[in-house]
This record gives sequence, C-alpha cells and structure tokens, in this order.
Amino acid sequence: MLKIAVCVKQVPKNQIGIDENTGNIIREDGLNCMNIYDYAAVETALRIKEQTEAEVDIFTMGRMDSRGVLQEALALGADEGILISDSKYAGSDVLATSYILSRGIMKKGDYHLIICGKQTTDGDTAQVSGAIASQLNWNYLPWIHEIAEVTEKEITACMLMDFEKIEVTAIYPCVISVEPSIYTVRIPTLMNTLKSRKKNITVYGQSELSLPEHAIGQKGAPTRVAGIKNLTCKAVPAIRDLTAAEIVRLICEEAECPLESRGGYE
Amino acid sequence: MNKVILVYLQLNDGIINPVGFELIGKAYELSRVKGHRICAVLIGNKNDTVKDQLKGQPVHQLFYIETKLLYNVKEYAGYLGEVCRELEPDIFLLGATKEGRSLAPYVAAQLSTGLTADCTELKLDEDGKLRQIRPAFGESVLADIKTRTLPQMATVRPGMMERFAEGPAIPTEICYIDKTGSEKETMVKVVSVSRIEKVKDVDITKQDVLVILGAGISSREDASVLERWAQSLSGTFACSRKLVERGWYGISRQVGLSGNAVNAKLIITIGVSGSVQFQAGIKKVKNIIAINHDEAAPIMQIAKIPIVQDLNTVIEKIKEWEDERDDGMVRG
Amino acid sequence: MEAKIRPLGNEDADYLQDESGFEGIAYSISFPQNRNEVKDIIDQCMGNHETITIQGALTGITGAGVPLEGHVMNMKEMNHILEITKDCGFVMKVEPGITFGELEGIVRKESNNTYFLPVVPTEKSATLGGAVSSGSKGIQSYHYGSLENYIEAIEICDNQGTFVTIEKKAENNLLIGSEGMLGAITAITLRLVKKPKYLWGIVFMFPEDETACAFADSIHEMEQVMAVEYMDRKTIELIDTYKNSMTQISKVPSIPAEVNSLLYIEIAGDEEEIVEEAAAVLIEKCVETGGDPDTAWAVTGETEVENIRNYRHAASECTNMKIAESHGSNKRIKKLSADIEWKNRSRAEILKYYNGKLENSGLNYCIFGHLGTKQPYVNILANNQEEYEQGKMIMSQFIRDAYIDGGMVFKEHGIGKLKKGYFCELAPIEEINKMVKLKGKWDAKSVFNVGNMFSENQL
Repeated sequence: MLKIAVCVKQVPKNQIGIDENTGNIIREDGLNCMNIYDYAAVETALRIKEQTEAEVDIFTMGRMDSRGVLQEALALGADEGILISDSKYAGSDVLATSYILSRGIMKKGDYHLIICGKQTTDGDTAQVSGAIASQLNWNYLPWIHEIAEVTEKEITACMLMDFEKIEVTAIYPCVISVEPSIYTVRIPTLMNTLKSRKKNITVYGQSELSLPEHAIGQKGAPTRVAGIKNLTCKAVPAIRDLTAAEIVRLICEEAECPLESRGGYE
Repeated sequence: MNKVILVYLQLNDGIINPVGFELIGKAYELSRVKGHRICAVLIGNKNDTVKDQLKGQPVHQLFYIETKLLYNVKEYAGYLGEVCRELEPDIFLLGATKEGRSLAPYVAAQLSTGLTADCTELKLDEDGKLRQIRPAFGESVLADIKTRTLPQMATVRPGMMERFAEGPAIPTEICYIDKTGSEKETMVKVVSVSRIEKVKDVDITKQDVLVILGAGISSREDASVLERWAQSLSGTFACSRKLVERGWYGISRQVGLSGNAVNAKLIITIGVSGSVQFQAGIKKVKNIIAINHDEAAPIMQIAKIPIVQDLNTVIEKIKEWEDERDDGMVRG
Repeated sequence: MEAKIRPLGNEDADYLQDESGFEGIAYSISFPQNRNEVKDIIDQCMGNHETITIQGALTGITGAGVPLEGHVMNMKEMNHILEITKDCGFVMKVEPGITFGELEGIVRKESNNTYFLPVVPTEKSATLGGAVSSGSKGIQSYHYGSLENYIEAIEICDNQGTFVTIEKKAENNLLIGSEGMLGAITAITLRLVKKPKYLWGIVFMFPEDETACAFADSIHEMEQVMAVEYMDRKTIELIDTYKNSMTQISKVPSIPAEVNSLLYIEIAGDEEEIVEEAAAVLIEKCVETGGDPDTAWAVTGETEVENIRNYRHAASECTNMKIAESHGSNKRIKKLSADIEWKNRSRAEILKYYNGKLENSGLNYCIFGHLGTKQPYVNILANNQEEYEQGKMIMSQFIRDAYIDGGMVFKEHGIGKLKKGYFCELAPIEEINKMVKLKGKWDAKSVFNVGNMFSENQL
C-alpha cells in the first residue's frame, strides 16, 4: 500500500495587503480557501490512488480554522486529515514551517511520497516543498507537469525546467511539487462530501510533537520582515504633455523592452 | 563573517544563464559597501567555455563542480552546501529561475539558514546586513526582509538587476571540484531530456506584453488601426467586454471578470476605463501603461504610466507611422 | 448649481444599447451624483420639453433602459449607501445605481457576514434600481420569494421634481417592475435577512428530463432547499464553446456526455448537521425517483459555491454572447427569450412543451433557469433574419399558451421595447389597464422611459 502525504495551506480568499504600521494582514472579508496551487497536489494524489492501492493523507499547518481545507481535501477523496496547530508555531517562516511539517509527517507514519503544490498565493513562493525534502534528506522532484508511472517502488515523472523537460525515475521516498497544469482538478462528489464528515482529522500540537523551541515559531525563523511598503496606495500623476508622436514612440519602446527589465517601474 | 558574496551561475547547454551575470553585477555593487570578495559556483561537465564567458567579470574565485549528473536537486544542493561550509560566505545569491528556485530552499534548509525568494532589490544596510526586498501579497506590498543567520540567502528575479559594466578587471581563479565518482549513489535516474519548444502563441493569457483595446475606441476602423499596431508590438491583442458586446471581437480576446484573466508583466491599455469587472482580469499584471482622455478613469489610478491624451490624435499618429513604414522609410 | 447635462458624443455609444442588442438614440446624457441632481435634471428636461430615459448598468434584456429620443439619465454614479440601521435586524437605505457586487461587499463587511440580500440576479454588475424596475429575481427566489419582500420603501422623484416615498406597510404596490416609467428612483430601503451559516451547492446529473423533473418535484417540500436551477444539454454545450476564454469557469470539469439534464440545488442551514441531513435526504429522493446520486458533485462553503454559481451564470452570459455574434452580422437579430412562470403544467410538461415546439423547427435554442419555481428560460438563438422571424412567432405562441395556463409572463425580465408587441397583443386587458392607470397617475405627461411596454396608441 502506497502511503502518500499531501501538504496544503489555507490562505485568505481576497488579500488586500498589509497594514504598514502594524504589519497585520488586511483581509477584506475574512473568507478563506485552499491555496489554489494545492488543488493540483491533491488531485495528483487522488489520481495515483485511482491507479494503485494507496492511502492519501492531507497535512496542513495553520490556525485551528484551517480544518476547512482539510475537510475540502477529504471531500475530494483523501483518507485522513492532520492539522498541525499550536500557538507556538505562529510566526514561522519557511525554515521553521518545513521543520514542523516534516516532523508532523514523520510522526504520522512512513510515507513513500510527499506531494506539494508549486507555491502559495501569499508569501513564500515555491520554497516549502524543497525545504521539507531537505529537512528529511529525501530526493526532491520539482515542477512536475506529467507523471508517467507510479509503482510500489518508484515514480517516473517529468520536471518542466527552464529550457528542458527532464523525465526521471525516483525511488521512494521522495518529495514532488506539481505544476497547476498537471491535471484538471475534480469537483468533490456528493457521496464523498458526506462520507468525508466521518473521516478522521487528527490535531498535532506541541503536546504531540514536542519540538525544540528554538526551531519553531519566530524563534525558529531566521528571516523576518523588517519593513513593509504599500505599493498600491499612490496613484501616479497622469502625464498630460506628451504629443501623440511621443506616446507612440514610448509605447513601441516599452513593448520591445519593458522598463521593468531595466529595473524601472519601481 | 567571511566577507564573501557567493553567486550561483546556472549553466544550460554550456552557456551561463544571463541571470548569473545580473547576480555578479549586483554582487559587485554590494561589494563596494563593505569590501566583500565575489565568488561564484557552477555545476557542469567541463565541456564548455565558462572561462571565456567570465572574462572581464569581477569574480575572484569560481568553484566549478564537475559532474555528469543532470539536474538533481538533492545532489546539487549537497555540492553547494559543501562549498558554503568551506567558504562560509555572508551572502549566497541564486537566480529565481526554475533551477534556482528549487535548489535554493533545499540548500537553505540544509544550512539551517533563511532564504528570501524572488527578490527585486538587494541592499546592504549600515550594519552590513543584507536587506532583501520583494513584492508580496499579490504584489500589493514590498516587503523588506532581514536574515539573522549565515549565509543570508536570496533568489533574485531575472531582469531586475544590472550586469557588471565598469570596473577593474579581476583574474578569476578556477577551482575544480570533481564529483564524477559519486553519481551512482543517487536514487534518481534520468529517463529522457527534451527541449521545450517555444511556440508562437496567440493565447492572450500567455503573453508577457499585451495591448488591450477598450470602449473608448469609437469606430471599427480605428480599432483595426490599433489592432495592427498592437500585433506589431505584442504579437496579439486583447479587448474589454464592451468591444465583445459590440460584436467587434470574440470572447477569446476578452479580458475581465467574465472573460480571461491575463498574466502579462506589462499591459498597454488604449481607451479602457478600467471598471471593477475589467480589473478582475488583470489582477496578476504588474505594470500598466494606460492611454485615456479622462484622467479620472479608474485605470488611470492604478497605471504605472497614465497618459492623458485624446485617442483620435494617437490613432492619427499611428496611421501616419504605418504609412511611413509602408513607404519604406525608417521608423523614427 | 446646475447638474451637468451634456450632448451625447461618439464615445457614448455604449449607453444606447443593452444586453439584448436593442439599439436606440438620444441627444443628451447626464450622470447625477445624488437625488438633488436628479431633481435638477428632471426640471431642466421638463423646461426643454424633453423626455427622459432612466438607465442603470444596461444589463437588461428587453431594451427597457435604452433611449429612443431625448435625454438619457444614467444612474451609475448614484451608488452610495445612505444609511444603515442595525438595531433591529439590518436595514439599509441605498441609492439605486449601486451594483449587486458592490452591495454584497458592503453588506458582508458591515454585518460581519451575518446578513445578506437573498434575492440577487446572477449578473452581479446589474444595479439594484434596474432589478427593482424590471422585477428581476434570483436563484434563491425558490426559497426566499421575490425582491419585493425585502424592500421596505422606495423614494421616487416624479416629473414635477417632487420626492415621494412609498412604504410597503402603507401601500401594496411598490411599483416593482414599472421599468422606470413612473419616475426616477432615488433611494431604496432594504431589510436584509440573516444569512445561514452553512451553504452547499450540489449538481445532480440525469440522462433525461423526466427523471430530473421527478426529482425536482420530490424535493418540493424541503425547507433547506434554497435553489433549484436547470440546464439542458444544449446549454451545457453552449457554455463549452466559450469556457476556455472564461477564466472564472475554465477550471470547472466537463459534464459527462451522457448527461442531458442537469439540476443545480443549493441547501443551507444554521447548523452543519441540518445541512448534512438535507444532503442525505436529497440522495434518498434521487434514488427514489430513479436518479444516480453517485454522479452528483457537491461544493461547500461560500467560496466554492461561488464557482458553481458562476457556471450557472455562464448560461446567461454565453446565451447573450451567441446573440451578440448574430447581432454583429445582422442588427435586427436580438434576444429572443421567454421567462414564463407556468402555473398548472408540471415541470416535466413544461420542458416537454418547449422542446416539442422547438425540436422540429430547425432553430437553435437552449433551456435553463428556475425549474424549481416552474420558470425555466427558453432562449431561441437565431442565426439569420428568417430564423429570427420564425422565433418571434413561436414566442407569441408560448405567451398565448402561458396565459391560457394561468401562468405569469414578463414578470422577471420585463417587457421594455422588445416584448411590448407580445404584451399589448396577448396580455389580459386587466393587466395592461393596471399599468396604464399607474402611468396615468404618475406620469400622465409621458416623460419617463418612452417606448417601454406600450405602443403609442395605448396611452
């Protein structure tokens, strides 16, 4: 029986930004949802489950209300949900998060495969999966956009790199992160949604994991935000004095070589 | 503190990826503050002209890790980690390419150090600490990040930093590190490698630069002029919902809440007012150049370069330019 | 200071057309910022003997907001919240130009997501004033009834420039559905309701209409069911042709080919167990009526339900896009749709009736909408003039048969310009006279929204 762990994250649905003074996230409506890139990871695990005998467990680290994303994944067809939550974990950056997640996964069982989404829509940009692999000293296959074969011993998949597609076969255990284009994500069936209500959600906190304080939360986070600058506030004053000829020239230049590439636009 | 800035040079088909030179350029700038030495690390199979490619660059030492292994994160990260433990750099920079973005977190976790991804700006502050600046929260804020561990690691967005241009020539010492023996130990075997074909796409969601035509364009003929110009600028063009409602274009060109969400880095809007529905389709767009006769139009409040001008004069100018070009005269 | 009336220019073409494709003309336009400007503009126009067409977001499908002459007053700048009272429930007084999208955001914030307006059209960019004027409903009207139930008062400015407030408790008739013909609405007072904590959206799939209708019939008494919406195979295929260009719904998986009948059901409640139980009952009923619950999709929570609601809304969007395409080649081709609420026919009979009349006509059509309340829309998608004429004749027949059945016609989308032919010819005389009387009482001078509902000789 193949054991697969999928890592997902709950993110605010509509992010407005951060309050410059308090550093707190400004959430417009308090609605949360699963990080959109994680759906592909869940779908990948479920497709493997359709082909081979496999057990799919979903892990998330967050506040207690992150149960919602676990429930969503269970409704899609996953087997168990594990919520890793403790007030001491708050303020974790990628290093601390990957440490906590990897310990939580190890505590739950012996997994062959860990599947993650490509990145999150809030913050860390594609780091956690690699960091988890590193914490476990496992192989890491990033940018997977196609899976050719999954057996009880190994997985054959294709990484979509900068200039090439590299197809590899990796012996378990390993971590993979998937491109959102890998599969069309299913909608949960009604039957699975009802069944999922009876599925197990386990909560792991410090009483279960007993992680050293220096490695978790803010203490375990070597990076910290020293300052925030809101970008969207200021409207740039409109330019009124360009002739049509100058406008045409400006746009031709920009289209060919955007100011952004030359370090401009701010 | 070892006063070394280390940069990762990504090698593809024997050529150093341009982002590597941008990293060297930035490292040079940073080195002028506290006098850091610039070192580089590269992974390849020695079958290349790296030495020549680095001529004139201010790199003191290049660590060339020799392996026949194709991209393998665990092994590559292991090599890089070793170099870092030996060299103990203050700062380790990689390009935020696919390769860099997957290697860096593995290395950082191994070294138990912090990593800031996709930086658009780097500075050294008065204390000599690296300030890593990157957009966050859907590009709505710029976050300034500090790392309290060493090396301070960052991946840098390609195209944001300047290559090294002027300064004293430094002879680069190359140290080869032979890892060709250790390949058998890996549990990952390459099955095949194929190049990614660059397809000429007319899918508006795949364009980096996109011209979008809006309701302010009053006649079909004017729209045609702008269409042709847009195609010469960005390969294809898009439009707002109103133009689809007018029956001028099909929905495949529509940008907005009920149409397509585009991912361009730069959009040039012409006669678009920028309603809430329209803006929903450009959430991921980083830069907007907007032309509108109305300064108060919503798009003008969010554009990086809002230009107030009457559309008709712009369209006249484009017609002139087209005629000139067709007459074989050189574009001004 | 005088409110700005300016002549219509080339760039104002979009104010002369709505979603139906009906095109009009006007000579001047204004965008009043508040009720005083509305009064001022009315005074100015009266002084110049000009008629006024009041319009919102022009998302209507009967041309009701499209001007045929004179001045057009666009209400989009009057989109402010005037007052919110939270001490006894949640009551708000708003300007008519506010869109449902804007309203939703504000209500969510102000009520901490505990209250909502349950009757909203799927088109979020429509204005509240527009919905009130046309009689628009929403998918949850199945449970919550019509918009009228949530309006406490309407303030209207008549052609003398006098503000009149009509309160629900005082008068039975709040002028809902009067299509801007009586005066300019300047404020609407809404009483919102508590939002159920849990919401599920379920898509049931059937191989044919009979089973789908039997299922819809069987769940009729269930308290937790908020919406029962239908889509036929033609609608599913129509959406498929545009789906890739609609990022919002492009991720919705394909509906399996053997599905010819789709029902979208919403259930809600204040406790999760109640909603789960309701879902279990739906499964039972599905099995009882010969359906297969294994193929049903379910999404839970507002965010996910929104995705499926967008898919349902795509039915309307794609229909309008198809018409815009035909309209592009022939200006005479416009929206041909019926929003009949049948009375005595059963759901299955309604669908059979429409399909029966259209199957052999050779015309392209699709059926979707409020099957739960026996009000599915039928859209005829004409490709050329001939088909359009043929379609119009078939529409007449639908309407004739609807009145014979005792059903209600024109109640949701309204009459406007496009359907006045049918209205004047086919509606019972009492219905026509009722509106004529109202018009006589409020706007005997025929200043407002000329061309809606009546032919010239009616007044």
